[in-house]
Amino acid sequence: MLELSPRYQIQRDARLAALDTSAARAYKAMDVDPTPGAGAARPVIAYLYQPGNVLPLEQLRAFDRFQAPGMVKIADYGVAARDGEGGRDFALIVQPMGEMVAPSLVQQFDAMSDETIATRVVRPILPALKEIESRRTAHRAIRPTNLFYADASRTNVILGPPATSPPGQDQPAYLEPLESAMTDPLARAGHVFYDDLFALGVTLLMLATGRNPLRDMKPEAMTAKRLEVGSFEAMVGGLRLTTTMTELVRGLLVDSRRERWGLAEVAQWAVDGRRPNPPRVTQPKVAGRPIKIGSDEASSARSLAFHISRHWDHAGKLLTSEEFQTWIRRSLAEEAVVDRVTKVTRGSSETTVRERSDRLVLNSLLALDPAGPMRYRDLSFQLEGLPNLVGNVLAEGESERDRAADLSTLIANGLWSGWAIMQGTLGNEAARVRSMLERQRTVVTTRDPGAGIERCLYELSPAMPCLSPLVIESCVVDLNDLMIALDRLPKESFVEDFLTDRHILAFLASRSSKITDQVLRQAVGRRSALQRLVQQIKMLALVQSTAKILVPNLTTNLANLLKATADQEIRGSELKELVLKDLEAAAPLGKIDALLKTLEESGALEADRRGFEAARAEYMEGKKKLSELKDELTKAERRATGLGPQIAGMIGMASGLAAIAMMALMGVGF
Amino acid sequence: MKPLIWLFGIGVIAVLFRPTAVILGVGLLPTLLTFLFDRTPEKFGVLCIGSLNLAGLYPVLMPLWTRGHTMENAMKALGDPNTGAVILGAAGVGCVIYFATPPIVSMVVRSRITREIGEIEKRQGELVAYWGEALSEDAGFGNATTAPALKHKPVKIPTRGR
Repeated sequence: MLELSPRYQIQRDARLAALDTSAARAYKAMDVDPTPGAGAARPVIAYLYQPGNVLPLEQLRAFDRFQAPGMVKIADYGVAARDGEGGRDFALIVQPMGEMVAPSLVQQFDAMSDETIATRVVRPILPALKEIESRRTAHRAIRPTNLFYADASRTNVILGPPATSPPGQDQPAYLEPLESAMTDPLARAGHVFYDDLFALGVTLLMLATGRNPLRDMKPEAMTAKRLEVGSFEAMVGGLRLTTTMTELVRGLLVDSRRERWGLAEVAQWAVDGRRPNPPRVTQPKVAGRPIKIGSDEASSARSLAFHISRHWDHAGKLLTSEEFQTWIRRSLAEEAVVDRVTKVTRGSSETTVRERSDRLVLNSLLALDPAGPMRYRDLSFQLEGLPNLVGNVLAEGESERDRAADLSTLIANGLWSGWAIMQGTLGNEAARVRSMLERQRTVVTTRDPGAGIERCLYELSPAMPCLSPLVIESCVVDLNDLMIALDRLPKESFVEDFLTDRHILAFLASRSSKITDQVLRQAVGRRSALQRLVQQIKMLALVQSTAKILVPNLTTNLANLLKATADQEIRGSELKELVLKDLEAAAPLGKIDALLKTLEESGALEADRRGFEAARAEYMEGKKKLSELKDELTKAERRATGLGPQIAGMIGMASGLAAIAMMALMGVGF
Repeated sequence: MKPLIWLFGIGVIAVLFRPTAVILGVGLLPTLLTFLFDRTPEKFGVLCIGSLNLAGLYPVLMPLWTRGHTMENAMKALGDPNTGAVILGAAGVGCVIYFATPPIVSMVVRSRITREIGEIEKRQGELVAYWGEALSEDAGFGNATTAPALKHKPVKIPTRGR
């Protein structure tokens, strides 16, 4: 991945906590451009992304060379190494901003007049908004706390930087259009410029009133009210706004994206001073009487869907009740919705089988509110936001185990597909995610190495850094990053099976076509630690063949680990000596495949194992024989005591006979 | 019954072959002594010393039988100091054989066993030198237990505060 230019020096001990977002921490930094004539070092601001979030690479690429006035300038972005420690962070460098227009969304601030809003807020940011729209991207972080005075004179306002967190992640629900307001902030769509216009409308409303529109309402209650009476009525009803401001806010807070004012209308209002045509506002159809769900009440199909998704476990009972059927038929005024819901719920009975109940609720939500986000149990997302949601859930580990399981079920059973069909034509990113989801259906529930929800995460998002504890602090997005991160690991990290956690295997499998299922199984499934380590190193060698960078520290550490493991497991001294010699030579070279020169030779380890078994058998046989012989030795004396006289007798007899025969032949005594 | 037969046999020889009986009676005294002290059931000592004792009596008995089987010749032979030397010398050789043979046999047996033990131990040493001390352990090759330094670290994704 792109390395941040060394001219930017991030001061990690100088936090700018007021600028922090949910995904990034802000720090002071200096731009020490070494180019001759560049002048003295200049202060800039660095946003460092925290692990667990999808990096906004695509959005930032869309903002490359963005020079239009009206928005904080993005200076650079890329991966920055931490001084001293081994980690790396993804950094976004922006030019410094003036004072924040509103330091907080919950506290009151100074209201602005229409004139000020038109001349000092809307007009200055209009060029930036036009440029954003022309690039077919979106800012997705327009809110009062992300507006800044351009300079100390506090004359004009500019938009704060985009992409300091995933799209829409830091926007409270009331700053988002209804569909996005009902979506988990971690899982919102990124490229919809009309969402920026809605956020602009709410922001201008807040600047005009000096406070947020919630007043004393809870965010969920505000969303429910918006679903029943429309966003404009819910947020503006009861407030005293000028006619001019009311026109602008009404135009931008239209719930229908098609009817919402565009930049042309905003420019007419702010620049030309003309009054654009008011938008066509379709009021939500309200039921004759409300229906109760838990502690809430719903008076429309959409608000019912919203409440059902918040009371999922009780929804099955409601949907199969006579009360609900009656309400649908007699009180709900939307025929098309009634037809759809009746088809889904007719004949259904309450069930304790969770899967069946979930499907009923899911299909009912689609029938009641097809424009809403995809909702399943505690999950709600838009397709483009799904990778970030999966990443955040997995990064939380055990505490989000249930949601991770729900995500797996959702993907494996294709529960999202009906909803995706209802969305009609999808944008590029949404279409890409949909296509990836189809391919992950069988992979997501497999526990094989490199598969599972982890694989799904990295396949869904090429910009998701690896969450393996081994490299989570190193912002590893591609294979090059992985090689660099592994090369920087301290030697203490290199222990048995260090390369086999689910995240790193899934990351490798998704980023490299050479890392096949077979390679992964061999890296994890072999019986001996040495055989597994050899396969794991082979995997890294495959990665290096793509990344093409030398990694001398990594090869040194791998060589040491191989030496220790080989020393324990290779029995034959000849093979061991050869392997250790090869490792000694290959360690500093930085080429991973050189480490396996002898170990990879066909059958070397197997021959060593067989040889050892045979030697052991011979040794044990010898040990048994030794025991028998030592036993015999102790009995030798006794044996000699028995055998000796017998032999002596025979020798004596033979000698006597021989002596007599000799004397007879010699004629002794004759 | 057997001793009676022996006694009868000795009696007949003593009566019919008096000179020979006298020579044998005196000359076989070493054998008789051996018989009395030999504790082995098979009486291998008697066999060993007796055989050589008899061989020692041959040069005394042959002249008696070929030159006159008389009491006078028998007494003359017994009175010859050389006769005693030959008889006792032969019996002495028998004694040496009888008492020296068991330790020699023991030494030979022990030597063979010790040599075999040495060969096997040498081979064991060669095997251990090549294959390592694990050869003598009960654990099999490729056992999952590894040295503490290589123990697998538990893997956990750190949770973050939100």
